[in-house]
Amino acid sequence: MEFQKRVAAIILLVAMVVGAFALAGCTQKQPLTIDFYTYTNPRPYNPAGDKLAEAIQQQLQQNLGAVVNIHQFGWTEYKDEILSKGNGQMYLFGWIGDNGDPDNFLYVHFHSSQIGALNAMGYKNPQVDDLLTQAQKESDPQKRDQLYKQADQLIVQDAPWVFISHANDMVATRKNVTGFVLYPTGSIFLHNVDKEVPAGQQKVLVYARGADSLSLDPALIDDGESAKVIENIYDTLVTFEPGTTKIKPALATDWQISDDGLVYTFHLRKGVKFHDGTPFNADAVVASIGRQVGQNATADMPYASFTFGDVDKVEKVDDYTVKITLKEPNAPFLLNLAMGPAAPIVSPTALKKYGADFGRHPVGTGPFIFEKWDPDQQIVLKANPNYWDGKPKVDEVIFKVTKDNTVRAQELLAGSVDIIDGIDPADVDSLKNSPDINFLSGPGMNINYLAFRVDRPPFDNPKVRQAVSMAIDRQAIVDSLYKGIAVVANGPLPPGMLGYDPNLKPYEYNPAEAKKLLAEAGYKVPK
Amino acid sequence: MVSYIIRRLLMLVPVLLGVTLAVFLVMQVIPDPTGIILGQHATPAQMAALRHELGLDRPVWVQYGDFLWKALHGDLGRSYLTRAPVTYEIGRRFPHTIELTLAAILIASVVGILAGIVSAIRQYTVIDHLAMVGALLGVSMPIFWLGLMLIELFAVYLHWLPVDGRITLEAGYHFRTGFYIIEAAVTHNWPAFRDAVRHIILPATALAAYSTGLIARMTRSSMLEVVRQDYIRTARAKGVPERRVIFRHALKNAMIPVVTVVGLQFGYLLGGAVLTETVFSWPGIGSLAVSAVQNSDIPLIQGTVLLVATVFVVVNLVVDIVYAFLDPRIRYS
Amino acid sequence: MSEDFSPIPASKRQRGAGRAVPALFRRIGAVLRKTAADLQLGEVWKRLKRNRAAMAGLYLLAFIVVVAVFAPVFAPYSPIQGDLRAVLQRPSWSHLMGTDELGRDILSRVIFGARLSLEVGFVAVSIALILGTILGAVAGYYGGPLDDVIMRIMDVLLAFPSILLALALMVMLGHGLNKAMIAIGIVEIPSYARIVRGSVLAVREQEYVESARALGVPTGRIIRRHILPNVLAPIIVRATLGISEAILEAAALGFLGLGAQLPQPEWGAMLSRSRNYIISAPWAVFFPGFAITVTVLALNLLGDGLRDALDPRLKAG
Repeated sequence: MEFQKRVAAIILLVAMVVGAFALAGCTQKQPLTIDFYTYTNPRPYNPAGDKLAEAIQQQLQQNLGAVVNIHQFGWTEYKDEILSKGNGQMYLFGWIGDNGDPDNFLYVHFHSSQIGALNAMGYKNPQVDDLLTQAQKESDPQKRDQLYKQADQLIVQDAPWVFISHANDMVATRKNVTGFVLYPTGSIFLHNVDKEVPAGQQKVLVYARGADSLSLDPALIDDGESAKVIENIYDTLVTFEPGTTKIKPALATDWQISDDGLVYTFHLRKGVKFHDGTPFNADAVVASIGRQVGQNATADMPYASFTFGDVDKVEKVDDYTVKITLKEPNAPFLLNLAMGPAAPIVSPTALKKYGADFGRHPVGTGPFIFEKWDPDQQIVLKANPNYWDGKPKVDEVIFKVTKDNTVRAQELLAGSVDIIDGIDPADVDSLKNSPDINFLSGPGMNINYLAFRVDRPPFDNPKVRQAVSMAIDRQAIVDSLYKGIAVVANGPLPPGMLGYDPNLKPYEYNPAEAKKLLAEAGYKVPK
Repeated sequence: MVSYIIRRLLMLVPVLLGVTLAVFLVMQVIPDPTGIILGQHATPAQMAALRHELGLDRPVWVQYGDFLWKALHGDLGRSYLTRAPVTYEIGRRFPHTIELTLAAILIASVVGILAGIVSAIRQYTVIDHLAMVGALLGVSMPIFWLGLMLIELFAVYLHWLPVDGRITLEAGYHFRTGFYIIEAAVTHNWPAFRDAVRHIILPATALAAYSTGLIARMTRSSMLEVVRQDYIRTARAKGVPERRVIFRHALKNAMIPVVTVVGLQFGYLLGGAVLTETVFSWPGIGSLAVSAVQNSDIPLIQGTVLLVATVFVVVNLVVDIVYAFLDPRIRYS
Repeated sequence: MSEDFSPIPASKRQRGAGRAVPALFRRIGAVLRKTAADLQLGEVWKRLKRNRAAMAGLYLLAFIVVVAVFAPVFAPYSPIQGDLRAVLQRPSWSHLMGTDELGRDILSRVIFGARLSLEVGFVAVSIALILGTILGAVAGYYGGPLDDVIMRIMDVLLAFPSILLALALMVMLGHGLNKAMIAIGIVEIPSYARIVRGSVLAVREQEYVESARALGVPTGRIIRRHILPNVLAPIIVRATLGISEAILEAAALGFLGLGAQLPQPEWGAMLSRSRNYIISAPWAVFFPGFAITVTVLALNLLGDGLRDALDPRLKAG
């Protein structure tokens, strides 16, 4: 009797413990909670700004019952929050490939050496690392294409990102403006742009945009609004063929690359003068680039390490020959020398004269001469009559700031400005339908993405990443927020770029499957 | 009187010191700006070097002394974002804010005082009620919403006035200062003057709404109070014409408190400019302060806040002194 | 120790909160009743009822409070869930105020927004009121260097235009509605401190207070009996108008992108997010701002009426 009682008691006890654990197990199932970081204002790859975050929040709540806490920041602080401080569990970001090379997309984001920088996800896949390093050293485009395609596959499988969209580059001009060409890199070159005006009138070209430039010193900027103006005041050693990412001569008439890919010898154009009268020569190149190389680069030069990080030294061979030696081969180096940030050649005299204020008194060799800058209003440039590549077609260019997208579109429709960018999805139709407007649009070299921090919970679990990826209806987002000015992305690279694979299949929208995966990962999901 | 002014000026010193300390301390709470300045490729060594360069590794009071010393010499540091000196950024924009604020003061005092007088003379009539409802709406509407509604009505729908901006840039007017309207008037550049005035009407109206309402209510009650006083009754009894009673006798005395309110509005308007300038893309220090806040550009935030607070304090002092002149009843204590 | 201000005796506390709490409530009730009597609330209410504008404000405010409290009942849709395939629709019978850029019903967002705005106004004013009253009372009652220090700090706070100070404080505190409440609360402290200090100073020197003090009546009791009733009238008026100011300031912070967290339907934030559509979807801009205006208007009407009713001498236009 006594024994039976005891057994019964033990069984009862065990049952209770098991039951308690089971109960605890049930109640422990929590919905997925995410700290979601976003920037506030529209970016070129995401014209909807933080509305994108709100749309994602809405879908994750509807489809997964997830609790998504949004933290918003202004752009500068945002970069600090997610890249330097490493806050948040997932975050929105985007990238513009301003040199047109896939290395500038894949290596900077997915190579494990970039953890702590742009690879703030903490993504690490040794296979991907190998492929990306190989591709960087490879000079045969076809082999590179294959290497990048393999890397794409692996990345899409690992799903460290939700590949949201590629925004189209869009510019609208008045019909009387001719010669404007869209560059895939987003560069704006106004040298060959002409404007038809009644005889005897000055040709003043007004380019309206959403924000002011920050500085006109190419070494100190990394933003598009500064680059746009810089590209018209300065020249680079090499530049892009119109509308492409092919390189052609500019301030350098020709160049040789050593067989090991380490030594670049540039022969410089003769008879070119800076706007302040300083002759352009090897000294100018050494001064412009030298200040951004190695120990000379100061902390506030955001592109120095990207463009010139591999440069060992810059040397003058003679007055019109410059030799740049790299520490290791770097396939996209020439492309980087054609970009707006960092690469343009500045007047060494003016640089010495203005010092830290050079960014407010820019002097280059470019087609336009800096005239004046009314902050938050306009930057006025005058045509350079002695430009080595022929005098510009217009007499004056005004880069005007009109903050509101729709107001800017109205100004173009009314004819008070000649060219606009930053076109709002809501205004695309009215611009396209206007008989007075040329609407130029091309696939942009950018990616708008949502990144998971894969080095910590909850996104160290691939199932959670897949579930979230599958719970976001990217097509609906692109349709409603971007209204056809963007295309849904299928991987990290934009269409048309080396290494782009049209057959990539990222995790597609599938709420039922997403719920199942999330439940398997141990989270509470709605019925 | 002189000793009163001197005493008030002396009292300004601790307040201004407090303001600088407050501005300095507020920004101390922000953890570490080096990450923001250096961007995404910063190494710890770089960050430490920059901290040293900026003097952030020194004790707080040394930093404050340094900040104060430099501020007294017109050095407020460089903007993190544009790398230009803060004084340069502010100097280029402040005239625009002053002109906007002056325009708003003008609208507020003219419209407000007129409405107040009419209301008081025609107390409890339809005009009075309408004016007071208008005044109440003026103090109840958020500036930024009123601004957007004005844009919607006068710029988008009626096309009477420009949507935003300071001037028609495409017209290529050339200004040497930031005081476009004043400069255009002085140089007899009438097309530019007309254009600048057209641009200022909507923002100045939006900015003035609150002050207009306040001044109208103040004028009305002040007028009513004065009208009830003995000397007015005496004047009326003596058969002085009503118009003369109002404008000669009543108005003069009723205006004394109104002047103070008008003066104090200047400070309010400087604050309101933050919102108005954002709505109307006005290139003043209000929009500069907002973009500085949005970008965590600490030197720029410090500079704009310090400047506005200083102007605010000084203007209020001037108003007090003027008031003391106007109203002999004030004891200079 | 006066019996009114003595803390709950230790013996009672040990026997549990069960009895102490009703006692506490009784005590609070008694204080309120006495204060009401001091203020002649009946008279005030009579005067207030005669003021049609103030009553309109009161009814309007009551309506807004009811809507805010029963928001889930009144709102036809969810304030956060929207249909991405029905964005920026103009007002119709199914969406009386149209939909916003994420396809959410604007009416529902405006209704839920009333909760946030009233909460902000109330909390911010409470912070300012409590801290301001304490600081002002201490400064006025004790005088001397303490008074100087407190009032100089208040002067410094008053040296900034309020929205700019709130902005700077938000930089320090970080984003979010809770932080906006604190920032606005701090900004508003000096106005209460000044009122309270002024009233305390005025009363302190009066004979009956002096004699009470000479008789050894405890400080707490002097403050409650003699000083508080005098301060209460201007404070009530100030607080009513202060709530409307706080709502405006919170909306301004929201408009500048610092106040609310996404997807909170805060009115100012709604305005700032829809301002891009002023040409294509003006309704998305109109309604949130209209809601702010109506709420602030109601509070202003009531505040003006209260001022006239509480102290006929304070009457202003």
